[in-house]
Amino acid sequence: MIAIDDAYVDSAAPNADAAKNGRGLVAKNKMANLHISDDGNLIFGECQGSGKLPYKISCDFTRADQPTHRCNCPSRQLPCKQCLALMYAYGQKKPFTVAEVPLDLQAKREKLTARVEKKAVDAETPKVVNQAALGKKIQAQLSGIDVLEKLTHDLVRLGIGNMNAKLAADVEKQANQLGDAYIPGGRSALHRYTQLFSDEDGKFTDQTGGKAERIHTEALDQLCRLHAIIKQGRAYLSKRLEDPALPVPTDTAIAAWLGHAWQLAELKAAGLVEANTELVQLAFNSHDDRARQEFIDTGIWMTLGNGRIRVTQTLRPYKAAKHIKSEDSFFQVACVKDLCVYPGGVNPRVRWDAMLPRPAEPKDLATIRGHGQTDFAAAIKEVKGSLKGALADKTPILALNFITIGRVDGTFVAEDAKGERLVLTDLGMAEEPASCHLLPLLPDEALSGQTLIARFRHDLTTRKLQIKPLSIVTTNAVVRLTL
Amino acid sequence: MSIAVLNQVYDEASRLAVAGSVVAQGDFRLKKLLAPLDTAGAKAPVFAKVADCVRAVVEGPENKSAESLLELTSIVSAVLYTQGETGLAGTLERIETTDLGGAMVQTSARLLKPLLEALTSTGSGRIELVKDAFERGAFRDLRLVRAALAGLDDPYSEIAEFLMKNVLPTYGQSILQELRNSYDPKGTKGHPRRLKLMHNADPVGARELVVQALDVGSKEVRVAAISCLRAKEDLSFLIEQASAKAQDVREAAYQSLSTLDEPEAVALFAKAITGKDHLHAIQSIVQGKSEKLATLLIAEVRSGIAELPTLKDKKIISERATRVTYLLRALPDKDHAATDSLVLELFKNRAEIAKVKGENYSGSDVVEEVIRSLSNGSKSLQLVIAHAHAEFDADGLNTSVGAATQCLSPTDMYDQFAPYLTAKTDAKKKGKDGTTAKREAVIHAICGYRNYWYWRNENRTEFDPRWLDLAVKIQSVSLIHTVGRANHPATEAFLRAEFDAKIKTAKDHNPLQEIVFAMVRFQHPYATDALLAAVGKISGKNRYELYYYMRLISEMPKSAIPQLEAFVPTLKDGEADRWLEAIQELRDKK
Repeated sequence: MIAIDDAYVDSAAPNADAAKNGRGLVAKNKMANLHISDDGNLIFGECQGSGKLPYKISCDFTRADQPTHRCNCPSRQLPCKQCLALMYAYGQKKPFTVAEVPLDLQAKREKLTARVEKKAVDAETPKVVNQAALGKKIQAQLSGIDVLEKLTHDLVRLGIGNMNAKLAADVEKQANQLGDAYIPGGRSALHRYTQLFSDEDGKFTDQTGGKAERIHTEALDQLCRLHAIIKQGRAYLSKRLEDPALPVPTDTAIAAWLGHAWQLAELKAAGLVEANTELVQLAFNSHDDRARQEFIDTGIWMTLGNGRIRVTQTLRPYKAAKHIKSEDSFFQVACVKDLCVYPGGVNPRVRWDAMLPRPAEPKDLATIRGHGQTDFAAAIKEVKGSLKGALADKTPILALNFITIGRVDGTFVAEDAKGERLVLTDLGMAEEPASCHLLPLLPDEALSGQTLIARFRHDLTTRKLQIKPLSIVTTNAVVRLTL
Repeated sequence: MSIAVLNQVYDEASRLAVAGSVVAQGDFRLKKLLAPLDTAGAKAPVFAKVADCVRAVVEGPENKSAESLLELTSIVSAVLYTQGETGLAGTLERIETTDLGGAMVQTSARLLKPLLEALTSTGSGRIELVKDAFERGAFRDLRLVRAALAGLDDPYSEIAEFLMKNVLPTYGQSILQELRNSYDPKGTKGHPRRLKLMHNADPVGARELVVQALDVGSKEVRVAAISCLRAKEDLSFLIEQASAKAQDVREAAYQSLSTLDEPEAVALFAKAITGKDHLHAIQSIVQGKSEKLATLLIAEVRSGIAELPTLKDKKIISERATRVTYLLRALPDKDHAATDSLVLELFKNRAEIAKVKGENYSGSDVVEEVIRSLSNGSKSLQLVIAHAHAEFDADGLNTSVGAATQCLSPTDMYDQFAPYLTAKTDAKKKGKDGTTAKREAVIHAICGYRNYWYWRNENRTEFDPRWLDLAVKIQSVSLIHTVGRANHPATEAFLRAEFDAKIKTAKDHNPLQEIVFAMVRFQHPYATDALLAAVGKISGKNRYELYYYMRLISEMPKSAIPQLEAFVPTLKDGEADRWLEAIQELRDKK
């Protein structure tokens, strides 16, 4: 049995309210018949709800890094407040008596064990795909690509400058068909285009001057991206139509752009797994992506073993947002047995289904600092190489070991040991709050000889490659500058 | 690589994309770039590829224009992405950092985000969140600085004022640049606050902005700027503003003028405090700096007092008495010999002054103000009023006790006033001898005007220990609240007996509540049981008293938590939630 305390349960809670309600159930004496199994890996009991019969709850720690919570309440939150209450009760040393695991629960545990074993076997066995159905799906996707192409070309013919509210609404309406054609990525890309012209409230606004110019540049870049999705998507789908047995490619992100949702098993099957990794979160942000109609919690992590910076993304669609655990900043070290890495460029997305936390130590910070790039020129070369891909992540993140962060004519600049400089900026990264203004508020020592976690961005209007500071890793802390 | 031509191609392609690709065919500006592209293409194939794409745009069929234009833009931008300009020439200067003072914290997103939303949105319940975050030190997170600054414009002025007075000053001069960047002299709402903050943090540096605000600022900013003027060189301007049409401008000018010890300012006040605007002028006086102004005010009080008995019209008496009272309030509070001498003189003549009767304000009201000045004045003045207790009725006695608690030793204070509590009432006079009223006045003065639920353990006045024995003797729970202490057997026995008697019969919960509060505050061994018994009487009955009992939980020892938690199941759901929150507050208490 792992050590359970209030902090552990707090972090397992899907949100702050669930944690509060869970504690409340314990305090209100709603818990009864609290038991623990012989082997100490299962706690179970009952929780009185508003109904006649109590809810039956259990928390199974057979897989310590991936506990199973069971409850017959109707909540879609996982773990629900009753399971949290059970863990709080255990953590607060309420009396749990050793008891035999009830038969129904035993059956469920056995089923789970069987399922895990089957999953392991399934992972080894090649998946049988219904070729006819897949063929139909690909055909539908190709038709969707035709629709996407028509819409994109119509927009180009009409001109970015002639965009108006009615047209934007029409395009968004037609773009919704793409979801039915199994290319939600194309739909999102079109929405992202139309939303460039709208304000924070989603209302279409006429812009003039420099702001209009920036929007037009962004719009053209987005159209080029749509063009690439169409071109690469059609090539990929046509190839797959000829041979549906072809695996999803891992050397390009086109499948993800078209909306392919990678399963962990798929990633494992494709060999995109790193074993026994440790990750430290360097930055975190949570934003509302209106184009995707989702809240996105993004964690920016470094794998301590190889120093690569990866991102985690928890997507919470508006409709299901309250049922999905919102992520929080993570200040410990995540120990992950199987780290699944999505296909991608400089900062691929990662996922895991089991993790054990451990406290962060100074040596972890030293490791992060050790992985920082000391030569800015090499880092710039790497970034530029990745940016030229039409579907590449246009704002890659790197760790840079700087000698000084200072000012040149009022502009913030980071300089490496060879005197190579990168200009710091807040512009154009709307999903993260501005951070440069925080630099003068940092202690002097944070601005020399530290590691900067920086997001690169090439501004097509000014043709400049600049960086946005996300965090500064010093010898004793990760100072987060964004949220 | 000739990047200039690629930049030109990108610019032309952008222009066409903005205008619409239907006009791209035959575009002469794009066509003009073919020649240099072809030349460069002979050396580098990528230019040749770009040239092909340009041809497809300008020479290709109209129905392919969109595709061709996107193809061209894609290839050119892919190249340009690899050519982004980095670096910046010039001398690298160190950043002038500002110490925010104290340790900084890193708050988790789950806490930080709601707070940021509270500071950047509208709606109810935000001020509590902001105040709570301030008390918990969350504003020590760097990332909140900008939101706190933006909060100066909050439509709910209570939040903006709270940030200005409490949160932002803790950042010192480090926020000056941000304040300056977002400051608009023509603005309203947050901009006067910005100006005041900048002036408070750096009076010299903000001088230029203050002067600018006076010239071009909005009315609100000008008023703020006027209140920032405190230099001799501002004198003539302030004098001018003192006759402005707008009352708030005049008041701000008076306020600043009253801090200048200049003959011109005093001359202006000499006129203003006798004119139509006299009440505003007097009320705006900031006490302290100007000796000349103090002399003027003293002279005005003297002449005003001398005039009162000569007046016949009650309405005019009322007006003049009011004016004298305001003048008294504007006098320097402490350590001013001339003022002390004046109020002592007025106190001696109080009987004469009190005889003057006005319509709705009389000489007696002026005397009350004189007594208030004495009790708030220097120690020598307070001693005068403390020793004069025998001459006062119940009201005066109240003020005398108030002064005595500040200027007498606890022993002297007890010896002087304890007899009022033990004095025997003459039954024949049925209370008309004032004994009861004076006893109540003394208790009231010692206990203050605050109710027992506002009681705080900090900064309590030191009382002679005999007061507590006396409080038990006369069975005054209110007095026990003020003079009480823990581990006093007589008090514990009395409170327990009182509680047992009241819990059985009390319909009015206030006396019971007062006893429970005293038990909790003086760590009575039975306090937790008493609280639970009292709450048990009212739980589920939607009684407001429950709120006060729950507030009391945070004052209990943490050892009471298990007993308090065990009580939760007996409460209704809503009550239980609030009870749990109170327990959590106790648990979080350091």
